[in-house]
Amino acid sequence: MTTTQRLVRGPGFGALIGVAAMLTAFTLIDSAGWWSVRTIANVVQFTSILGFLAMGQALVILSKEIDLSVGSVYGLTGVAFVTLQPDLGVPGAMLAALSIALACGLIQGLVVVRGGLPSMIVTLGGLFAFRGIIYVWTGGSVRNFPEEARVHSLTRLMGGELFGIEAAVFWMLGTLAVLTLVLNATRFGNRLLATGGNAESALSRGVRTDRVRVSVFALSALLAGCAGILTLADRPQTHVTIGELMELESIAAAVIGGCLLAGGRGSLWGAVLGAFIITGFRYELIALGAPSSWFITFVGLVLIFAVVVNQKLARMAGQSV
Amino acid sequence: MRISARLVTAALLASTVLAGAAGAQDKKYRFVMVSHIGSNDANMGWLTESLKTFEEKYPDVTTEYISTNNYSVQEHVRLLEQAISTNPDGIAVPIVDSDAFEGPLRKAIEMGIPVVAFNIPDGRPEAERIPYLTYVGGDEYLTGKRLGEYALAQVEAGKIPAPTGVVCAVHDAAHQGLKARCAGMRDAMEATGAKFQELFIGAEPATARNTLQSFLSANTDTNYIFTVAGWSSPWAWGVANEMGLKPDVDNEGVTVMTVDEAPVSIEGVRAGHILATNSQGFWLQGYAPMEWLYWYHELGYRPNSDILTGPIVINAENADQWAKLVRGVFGDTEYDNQNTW
Amino acid sequence: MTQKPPLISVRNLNLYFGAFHALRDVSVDFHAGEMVGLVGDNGAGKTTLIRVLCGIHAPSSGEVYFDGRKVDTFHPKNAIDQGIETIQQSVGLCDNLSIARNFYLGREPVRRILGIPLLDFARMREMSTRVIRQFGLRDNVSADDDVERLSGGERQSIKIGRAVEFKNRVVIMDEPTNHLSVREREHVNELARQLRDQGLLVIYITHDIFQVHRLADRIVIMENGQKIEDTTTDRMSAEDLEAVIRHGGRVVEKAEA
Repeated sequence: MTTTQRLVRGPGFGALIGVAAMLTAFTLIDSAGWWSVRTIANVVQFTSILGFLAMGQALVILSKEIDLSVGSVYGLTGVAFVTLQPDLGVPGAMLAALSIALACGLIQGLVVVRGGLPSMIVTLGGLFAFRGIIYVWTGGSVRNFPEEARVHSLTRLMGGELFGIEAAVFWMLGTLAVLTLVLNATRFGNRLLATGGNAESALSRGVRTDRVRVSVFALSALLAGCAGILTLADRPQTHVTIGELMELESIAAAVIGGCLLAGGRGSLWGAVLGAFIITGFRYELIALGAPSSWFITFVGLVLIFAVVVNQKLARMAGQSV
Repeated sequence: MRISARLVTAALLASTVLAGAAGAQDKKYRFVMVSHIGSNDANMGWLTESLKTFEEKYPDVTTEYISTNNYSVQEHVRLLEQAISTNPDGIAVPIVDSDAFEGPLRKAIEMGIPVVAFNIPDGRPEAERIPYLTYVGGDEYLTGKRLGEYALAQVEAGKIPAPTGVVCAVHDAAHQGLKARCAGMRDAMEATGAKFQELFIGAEPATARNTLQSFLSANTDTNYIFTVAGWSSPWAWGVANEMGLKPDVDNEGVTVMTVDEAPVSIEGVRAGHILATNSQGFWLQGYAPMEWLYWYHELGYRPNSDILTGPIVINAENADQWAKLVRGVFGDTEYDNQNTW
Repeated sequence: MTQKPPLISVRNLNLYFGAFHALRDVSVDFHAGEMVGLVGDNGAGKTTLIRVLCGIHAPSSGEVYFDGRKVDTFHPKNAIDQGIETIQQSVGLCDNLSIARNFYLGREPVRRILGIPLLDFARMREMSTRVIRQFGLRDNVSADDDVERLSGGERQSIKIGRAVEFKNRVVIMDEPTNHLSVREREHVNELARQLRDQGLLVIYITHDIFQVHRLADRIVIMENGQKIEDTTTDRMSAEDLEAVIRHGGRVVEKAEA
């Protein structure tokens, strides 16, 4: 099979068409506004943050689970980074915050696997619990990130710019490349896809599906945590609401990007394109003067449309979905 | 004054009553403030500080501050009902939800306990309202209006550019109070002919910045940003600054306004980032209800209208004074922590 | 039969699923180089027994010895590591993965690039392609195709090819010829014979006593979670064994009533 064939039959193709359609439409209706450095930089920057969450979500969906807690884990990690910084310094706080994210993922993964519970319920619990911790910990307002921490080299590495482009963009692209390699060309990736595709068969081949699933939740939380740190390193003024509804946007991005909730099929770059589509639409709706609360309605419509199109594409590629 | 934050069990409340009874030999009255602001919110200091001052002035009154850190309307109603059952001489309560508070408050009033609404009034027409003595607090609509009027006065004085487009950045689309702030700003700006728009930015910081930035790139004529929460003002300033829109207070670029006497708002003004913010007289909202309850008992006083403790505009001239006051209430550490600029 | 110690020895095995007693005091030995037909009606406990042997279920009581050593932890991974390959009816292939990926699932070959262990696609493709051709899959089927595209027989061929290809000690086949054409069925049975001749233990599960009698050295009949017959094929004819299945079932029914 040629690369082109593989791309066309692959799960991210729908999102690629979607991006092409979106860019064409935006060029036609709002060429000057959309194709400006300012707009593209804005959209790409937020796509990077959402892309981190979407990649984690895609991995979870690929393993036929769901993670509703990513928004809260994203928030908790960011808040932990800022709150712990005075005591631990920038590197220590970053490490501690990421450890907290990892712990959130591991706990949820273990409860899902050991308890045999549906991940939707467990991570819904996580969504509320981690958000609750943010409120209790901060007392309703996230503290100041002092000047010396803002100029710390590690903070600049995460939140600075390179050639006028936000560091988050590079981090996201690098992570996307690494994770795509892991998913498609390592043992862990093969076993993850197998676990999502048919867990019983994977188990019968000696795959430790329990470990795969716990790892996936841990990875998802860690990616959400990275997004939290990237956000805070760049713009340290935040609020206890950090990450609210991001879990839904991340699921929407992954699904628009071609991840099938039935598990086992999807791609990480598709999820990132999904994040790009969502962010792009937010810009354009605002630019067109639509009330910004319409955005969620629109995301809903795009989501349903994407599911239908992705399913049709999958059927055309000969998959029984 | 007794503070019973995090008070959730009847047993604890009973002990409060006993303590109140023990001290009641030399105290004539016991007033209870059932608040929505828990000890995890530094704003509680405004109310507890003013209650302390009140007790110093009126030694024959004991005051109690009851709240929970686990806030929900149900929990608030429960605390209110428990407070009523101790038969205090007066209650001050924010009408967070007029439907939920209607039953217990009407019962209290029938029992002869005077009630003062503070911070949040019963928003319904006067005939349908809970028959409380009075409302002591700010006015959301006037908050927007006075800030708008202040900005226009500055334009007159040649200190800032005239508005060409005004955006009111709202983080909660369902919050009527925030909508009223925007409406006040809109009415203040109406005569200038500037385009006025309300933008729902959401409360999530990254999303809000993305939304604001999208709006500002698409609406290049917008040069006034009014954030209806203090904590979202650095986001608005930051976005405008990154876009090269010169958001500081001067005679060019974008002008940012915000609300509240929170450290982040006041420090924004002091740093020259924010044109103005407002206070709704939080300190008075603790003190004044107690005084009205006292006068009601002693002299049969009934206010003839709602008592507005705000808005008061905080600007570059008085911001230093405000900073001093707020530092006193919050404490230096908390004040500095909340200054996220 | 051979006098060597058994390769797999099951001792007084009991298995409960909640209150349901799925395996009742089963004791049976299996030797290397022998083909055992495991026969019984649906729900007799054949599949449950082999699911213990391939590590999916852990017994409630009783022991399993493999190559003289007591098995302590039951997991498919351990079974596969020991060289126990199971070909199950509906399980074993992931539709969303290519033939090559399925072929090596759980034991993927890697080669290190800059020290990072990446899947060795060339090797995976090469060996699975060889097996595809050997098993006469359609010419237009490539090792990169998703398993989903394959017919029932082709899928079975992949599973059996996989079992043959790796150096195993035990191959358990659960109804391997279901849904297969006559020609494919002969091919599978021939393979089973070859594996036995190579010195492997082959456990062949079916409810068709006549078919397996021609193939196997020994027949074990199960009914209601119990072993009710264990004999060599030269000692009893297929007809006699079929009678045992019918008769045995009835006896147990009576005993329970």
